[in-house]
Amino acid sequence: MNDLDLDRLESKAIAVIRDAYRLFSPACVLWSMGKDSTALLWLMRKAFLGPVPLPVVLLDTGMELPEVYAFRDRIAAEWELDFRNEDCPSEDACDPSLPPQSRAAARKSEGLRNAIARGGYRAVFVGIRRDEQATRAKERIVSPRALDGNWNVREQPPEFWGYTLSDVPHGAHVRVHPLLAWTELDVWRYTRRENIPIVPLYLARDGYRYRSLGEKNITLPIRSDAASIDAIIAELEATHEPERAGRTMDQESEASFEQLRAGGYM
Amino acid sequence: MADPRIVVLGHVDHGKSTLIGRLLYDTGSLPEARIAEVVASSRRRGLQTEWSFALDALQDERDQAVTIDTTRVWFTLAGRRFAIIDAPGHEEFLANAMTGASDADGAILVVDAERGVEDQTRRHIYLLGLLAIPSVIVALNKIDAVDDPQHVAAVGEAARAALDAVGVAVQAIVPISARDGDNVVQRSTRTPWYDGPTLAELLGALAATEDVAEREPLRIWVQDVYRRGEERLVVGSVQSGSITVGDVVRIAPSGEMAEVAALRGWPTDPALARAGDPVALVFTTPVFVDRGDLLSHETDRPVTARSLHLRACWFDREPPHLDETVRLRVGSADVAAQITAVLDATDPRTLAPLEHGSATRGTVYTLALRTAVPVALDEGARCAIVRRGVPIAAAHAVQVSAQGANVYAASHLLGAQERAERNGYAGLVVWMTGLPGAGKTTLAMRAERELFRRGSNVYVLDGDTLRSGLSADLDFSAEGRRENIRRVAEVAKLLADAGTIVLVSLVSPGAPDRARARAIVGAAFHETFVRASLATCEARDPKDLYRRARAGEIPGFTGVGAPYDEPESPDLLLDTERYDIDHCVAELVGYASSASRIAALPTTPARS
Repeated sequence: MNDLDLDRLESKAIAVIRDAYRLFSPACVLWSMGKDSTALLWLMRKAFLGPVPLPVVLLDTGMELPEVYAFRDRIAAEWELDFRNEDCPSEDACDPSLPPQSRAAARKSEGLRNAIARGGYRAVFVGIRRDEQATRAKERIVSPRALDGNWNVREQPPEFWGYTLSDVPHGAHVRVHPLLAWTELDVWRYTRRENIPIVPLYLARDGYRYRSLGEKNITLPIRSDAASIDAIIAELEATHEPERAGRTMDQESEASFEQLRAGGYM
Repeated sequence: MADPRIVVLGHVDHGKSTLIGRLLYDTGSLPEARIAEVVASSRRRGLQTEWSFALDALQDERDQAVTIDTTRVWFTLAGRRFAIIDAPGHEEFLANAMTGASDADGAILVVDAERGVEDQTRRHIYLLGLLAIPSVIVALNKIDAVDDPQHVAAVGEAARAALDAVGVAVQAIVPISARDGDNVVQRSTRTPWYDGPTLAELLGALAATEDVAEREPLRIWVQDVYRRGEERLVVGSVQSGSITVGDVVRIAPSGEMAEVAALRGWPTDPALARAGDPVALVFTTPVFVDRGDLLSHETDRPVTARSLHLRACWFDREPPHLDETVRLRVGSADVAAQITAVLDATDPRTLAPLEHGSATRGTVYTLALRTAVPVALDEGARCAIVRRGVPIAAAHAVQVSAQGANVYAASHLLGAQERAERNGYAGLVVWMTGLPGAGKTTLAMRAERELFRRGSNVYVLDGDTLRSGLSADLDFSAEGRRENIRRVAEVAKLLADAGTIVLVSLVSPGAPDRARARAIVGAAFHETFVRASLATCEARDPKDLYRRARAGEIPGFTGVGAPYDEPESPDLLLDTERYDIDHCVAELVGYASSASRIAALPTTPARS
């Protein structure tokens, strides 16, 4: 792992962003205020040389931690984002067969469906990474979604030499994943190198910090003394715990996350 | 160099995923929770610890015990981080194998030491040849199940021979057991007859593929053009070479030249951009450049072609058809192309020729293509053939014929000047641009009548009329509009050369388009802005087009869904909002006749 590798990741992400923005219009970008989607916005500022020219959408369950909302308001103003808060429908609108902890995620899938229907988006930029979760490892950089927003893991388009899907049928959309090849460590090293702002909850206070930021009722902080990005990087280099261990929804069943993703989750 | 990426290939069930799981486990790269998951999953299915479960995350995959798709994972060895790409084995998933392998720095080919080279192994070997991956290691797996070292050696030599046949040099052949860990990271006691390095040692010594792209000729594929304030930023990424302020670049396929005034970046501007870097260029002069153009320096330029041969590894179920129109992507260029010949088809398992029609997915074809518009590329360029937006074949350009290589412009014995002297006036092109409904065609038709009455040869080239004939094959995409304008400009030039006063009535909304038309026509080009505000044009709406555009029926309609660049300093301004038709026609006729008479005056030799 070295600086050249960060350069290579950054350059490829910028190329993906520019291509997809040109090929699939209108587009929006999802922002959860987490480190990954914030790094994605940063990369967009680089790709577009300053202003982010597309709507920045938060799928809001109303359950984020207060520090997260404060960060949202500060960054949206400082970066002059075209910010849209998408209020997600209540749990009643979701698939009742999902385990309780996964329903917040299902609410977001519904919220995203609504946002897409209203904005007519043909592309949704999302800051997911392959190493986060095994099911996401199967993703494409430009990944088609059927008219119902669902993901067909078995029929995915080839991607090679930087050539990705370049068209979708009317009414369907693509998910664009510029950070797909990045790891959790890459994101932290990039955040450190570029001095990208983060939600302070990532840094340890009283022996605990959030490694992954989800809704307050389903995300738990981990035991940690890492009070700076340097310390987080050192901690990650030593740990063997999966990143989303604090996300209770992933733990319920080995197939729950796959079920969520097939239903349109990020 | 950046950290290496390794692809793992091989026949289904020869143990690719197991090897990757083993590498992760032995290098301490597997989280403890994941190890526990693997052990629990294996136990639930009544198996001994099955390391491939570390990768095969999907529920249905576990049940079928095969890998569906390419997966990327990482492990750390000798202080370097390796990205591992697992490509699936079964034939129907060849496209996924390509997806995984296309950007690898090295490859491990896993071959079952008992069963040897099988169909899928051969197919992947062919893929390795197509991809030109620099470093290939052959891992002879499952040696725990084979007693005969001579059999293992024979399998290794068969693999080497198959790789040789497609031009791939083998770095090493190592006998391993992915299941038990023999010769992966730990040296095996089972193979006293093998004294070479372990797989981990081979990976650690993987030759660093030195980054030579920077020393190659400059190539930048233009991805888009952004407007930022007054500046037009030409964005793309540097494929090879480097570029800096003051460089003069050639824009292919148009052949126009432009000087770099500035390199833009955010938050700061770079002084130089090298191979791999994204760029945003500002040129000193307005030139036509858009997505799909290829920038180079003036020397070492790419070829501009319309006919080319491709060697294409075909992923689609539907084979290529003669005369079929596909899309050809080269860099950021994406053009329509017709398959004019299927020259041969090769079975990647046997390397033997296939009868056309008997082909399956994974067949390698040599195809002749003819593109609808010229495309710039280099021989050997990596291309994609696309159907319905999906890249369905990975191809190399194996033979590229320069466009116009067999075309020689004939020299006339009679010049435009002589014609002008006899006629008493010179041909010229009055290029009338303006919003739809501004009055271009109305003015042009009236002026044509009047100039004819005065004894001039005059002709109106009207956008709508040309669209129904000369340009009937073009659509209203950016590419189609650009080609339409090129054709109109070429025809106008010929007519003007022949001594005709040409009145072109064409919306031609883009300033770079018009600059390009001016470059084609030359000094006889007179830009005329037929001005009326959008509100006025929309109120006039003679063809009901604005109403339909507002209703969303005409996407990209100029003034509604697409911008109009007002000419900054037109040669003639006709304001149809302030003045009535008669006034504007008189002005146009007066301008055209005086410009054509002045142009007819003999040039004085002293000027040259």
